[in-house]
Amino acid sequence: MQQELKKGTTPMLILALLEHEARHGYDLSRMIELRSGGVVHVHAASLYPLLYRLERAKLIAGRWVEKPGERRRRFYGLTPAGRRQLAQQRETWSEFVRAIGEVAGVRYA
Amino acid sequence: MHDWSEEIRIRLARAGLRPEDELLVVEELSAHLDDVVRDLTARGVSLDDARARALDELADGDFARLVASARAAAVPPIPIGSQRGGGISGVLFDLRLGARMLRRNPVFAVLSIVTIALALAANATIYSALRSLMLKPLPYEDPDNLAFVQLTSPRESEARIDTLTRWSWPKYEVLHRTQRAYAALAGFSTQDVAIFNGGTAERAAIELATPSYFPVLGISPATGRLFDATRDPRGDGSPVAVISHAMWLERFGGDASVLGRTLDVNRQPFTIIGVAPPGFAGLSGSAVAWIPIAHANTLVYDGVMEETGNHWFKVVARRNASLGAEGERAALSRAYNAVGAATASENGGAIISVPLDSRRVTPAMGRTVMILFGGAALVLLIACANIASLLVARSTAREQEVAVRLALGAGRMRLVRQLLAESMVLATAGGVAGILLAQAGTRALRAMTPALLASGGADLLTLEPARIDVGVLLFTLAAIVVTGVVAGLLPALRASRTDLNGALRDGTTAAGHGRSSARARSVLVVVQTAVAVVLLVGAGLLLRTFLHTRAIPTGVEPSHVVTMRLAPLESDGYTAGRAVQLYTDVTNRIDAIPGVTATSVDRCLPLSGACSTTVATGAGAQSFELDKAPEVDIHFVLPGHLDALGLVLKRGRMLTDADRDGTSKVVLLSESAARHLFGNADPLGQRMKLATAYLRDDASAEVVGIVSDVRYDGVTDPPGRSVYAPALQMASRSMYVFVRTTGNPADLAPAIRAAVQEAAPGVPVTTLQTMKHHFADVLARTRLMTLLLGGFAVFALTLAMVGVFGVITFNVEQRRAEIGLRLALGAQPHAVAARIALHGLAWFGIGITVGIPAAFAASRMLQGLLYDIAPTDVTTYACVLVTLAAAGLAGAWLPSRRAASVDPCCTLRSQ
Repeated sequence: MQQELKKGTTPMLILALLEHEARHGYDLSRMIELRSGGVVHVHAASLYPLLYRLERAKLIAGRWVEKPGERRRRFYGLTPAGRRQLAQQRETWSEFVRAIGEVAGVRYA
Repeated sequence: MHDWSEEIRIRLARAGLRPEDELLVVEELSAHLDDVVRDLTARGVSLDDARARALDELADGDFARLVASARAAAVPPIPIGSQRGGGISGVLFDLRLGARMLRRNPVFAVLSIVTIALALAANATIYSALRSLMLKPLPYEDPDNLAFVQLTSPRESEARIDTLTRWSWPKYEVLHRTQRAYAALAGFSTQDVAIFNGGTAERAAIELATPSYFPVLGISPATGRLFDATRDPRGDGSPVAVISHAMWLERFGGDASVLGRTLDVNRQPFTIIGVAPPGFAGLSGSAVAWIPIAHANTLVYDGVMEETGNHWFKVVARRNASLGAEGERAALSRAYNAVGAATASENGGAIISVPLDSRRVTPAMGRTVMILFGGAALVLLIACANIASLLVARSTAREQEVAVRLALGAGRMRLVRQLLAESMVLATAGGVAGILLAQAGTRALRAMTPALLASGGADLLTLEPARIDVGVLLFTLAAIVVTGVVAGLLPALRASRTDLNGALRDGTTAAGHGRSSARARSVLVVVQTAVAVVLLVGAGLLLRTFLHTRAIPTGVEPSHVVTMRLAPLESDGYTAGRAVQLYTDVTNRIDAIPGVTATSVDRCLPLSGACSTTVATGAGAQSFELDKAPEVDIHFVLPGHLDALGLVLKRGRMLTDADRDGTSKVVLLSESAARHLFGNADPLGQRMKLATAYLRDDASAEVVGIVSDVRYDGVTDPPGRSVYAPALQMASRSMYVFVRTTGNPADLAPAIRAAVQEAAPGVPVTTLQTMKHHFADVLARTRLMTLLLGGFAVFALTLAMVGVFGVITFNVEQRRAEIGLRLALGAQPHAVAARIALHGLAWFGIGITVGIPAAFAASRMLQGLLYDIAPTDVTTYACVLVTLAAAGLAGAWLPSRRAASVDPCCTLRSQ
């Protein structure tokens, strides 16, 4: 169950994390783990293919950044299309959550 | 930092990424794993554990597949020494691989295919015309042994030698009876008739033919029978007709019961006895029916079969192969003597055989087609050069890869074949598109054919129109193979000759640096430019000819003039004797239409080459022997003629309404005729004699006026020596009517038609057209040729420009570092740009230098098609040079600018 949920929602999580700043892959995996309180952990083996797919769909754009004494890192940022996609997914998601809530009788404070 | 690349590569191996792609993924993941290790060690995990746990991140078994599906697929490697290397399956494998390579570079592929498609379409279209006009065997039995029989006289003027001479019946009869030169003989004549279908009539061409006509050509009927052979060469007098297959289908719905039905020709009934095979339309190419020549006395005019001096039909013969050329000549010489003696017509001429095959097209038309064919071939060559140039650039980029493969033991032939496969795929795709384009091309050609043939001026064996048939397809297939090989061979051979040592050692050099590659592409620019020069010069010369031709004064003011031909039928009561009255009535009625300012008639149109000629037997005090008398053309016109056609009265008076039947005979002379007949003497008031029905029994006519010259033959032929006589004194049954209008002449066409019907009920009006339209038709061939060759030239110029562009761009890329260094050391950007441009333009210049002598040689072939311009015309060459220089600069401009804008920091750092 959790696995399934993760698969469907990770793209949205990534888009959301990139909303305000560009991040590299490790940063993203750490943020996902941190924000979810350790519930969600995305392996590099699934994170990077996902990033490449999002980039290929032109939702995010990568850029190499060099810093002295470190490896080159690839930072990803949202493209305008990614921004639209995120807004749309948020919409769908909150509707979905509301509907589930109604059906399952979950109450939020 | 740990070097993760081996560990990551192993896990990525199944993804089959492009090497450069893999490098990036490895780099990105390395950073990630470093971060994981750093964080873990910070939390106190041992380094070895941290590394192991970091690698767990990549433990997902699907990792490689996921990466592969998210990134672009890898380049399929050129297989070396694979088991699929040989035989047909190997070739297919190569082709599939070639197609895959091209899919990966769609812009290059599409550009190349479009280029090839255009070039191949031009070739296929022109070849289809060439084939139908000149190459396809004539559709008759043993066509090589068929010949037209010419009766020549020494007086025959040079200009008319292209025209087939005709025969009179009495002369033919003697020839038929006495000749031993041919196995069989036949006579035929095209006649314009009205075929009635109930109340309505349709104009159509039929052939009057001797019964031997079909057997000589080896034609057998589709159904029914053909004319019976009779002892009398004209056939028996029975009123029978053979109809064409097309007519059978259109008019009789292909009904077998058509035999025995009646064909109403000029209101005379003929019984249909047979149907000709499909596609056969007679040697005139336009006949819908055949009627025995014995009926000429009713369908042409009474007495035509008895006139010795009236040459009105052509003769075709099947040669006697056993005789040999020498024997035939001797037999024809004897036949000429017999004909001359029997008809008292010997004048030092001869009878000669002209092979049917040589009369399919006029020499000018034949040359036109050959030149266009050459032009199309040059376009294909230049297109090949372009593709080759692009392929060279691409193969250079793969130099290292090729070197590695060679080092690993790949056969050079195998590599050549692989690279050739790529150009073959391009050529094939281009060829398929080209054939589709050529379909449209031949359709356009077919639409234009009537005008083109009409303007040919001389007799043509009109054959089936140009179309894409098996022959054309085979030709295109051959062209595709040649294109593929020519475009692919140079790049392939170059790649296979890769210097292993250099390429492998030189590993750090970026792709496309090879010196030999630069040289190969520069040579291709030379070829392209030289070919462009040849085509531009040819097109330029033709364009100037066309402009000159258009500027030639025809002697007629064609705007606002409508012409039409009336074809009254004798059987409707319109006898020759009533013609004067008929045309008086018709023109009077038309004159009354508002907007009509003048009308006249004549037996032929200007620029038609169809005017009757006669000879002047006397002019003033001189009289001429019949066989030495000067030739003139004769016209019968109305008083409004000068106004209707825009001629100018130079001296004397115009014909008037008073010059009518019963008054004294008067004529006008054109200036050329006056000069030719009277020299410096004043022709006004002099009397002259003509060998024509207008002046019978040694009567003479007075010259009352001199009018401006009109060109009645071709535009580029000299103006006619014309004699104008009053149509009020003598008119022909069928004549052209000219109407000058104030407004748009086409607007008045319905009113004019109506007026004709009122004045002459039932008289068919044919070829109603504006004079401008007629003139445009006359120039159609020159115009079409100028357009086509001009199109070829523009195409070639564009490709040459692209070539220059490519070479310079390539050069800039190659010398980026050097340019950067120069700029960093303070060189002026524009000076650098100029250097780069000059380097590329140097090859362009060499191409021009090679091209000019080539154009010089090639333009000699255009000689007979040019008018008032030498093949070495300086202005044309100058224009071509200026155009090319402009094109070259345009092609050089952009990439040179790029050189000037090179950022020294970037380029230097990237080294």
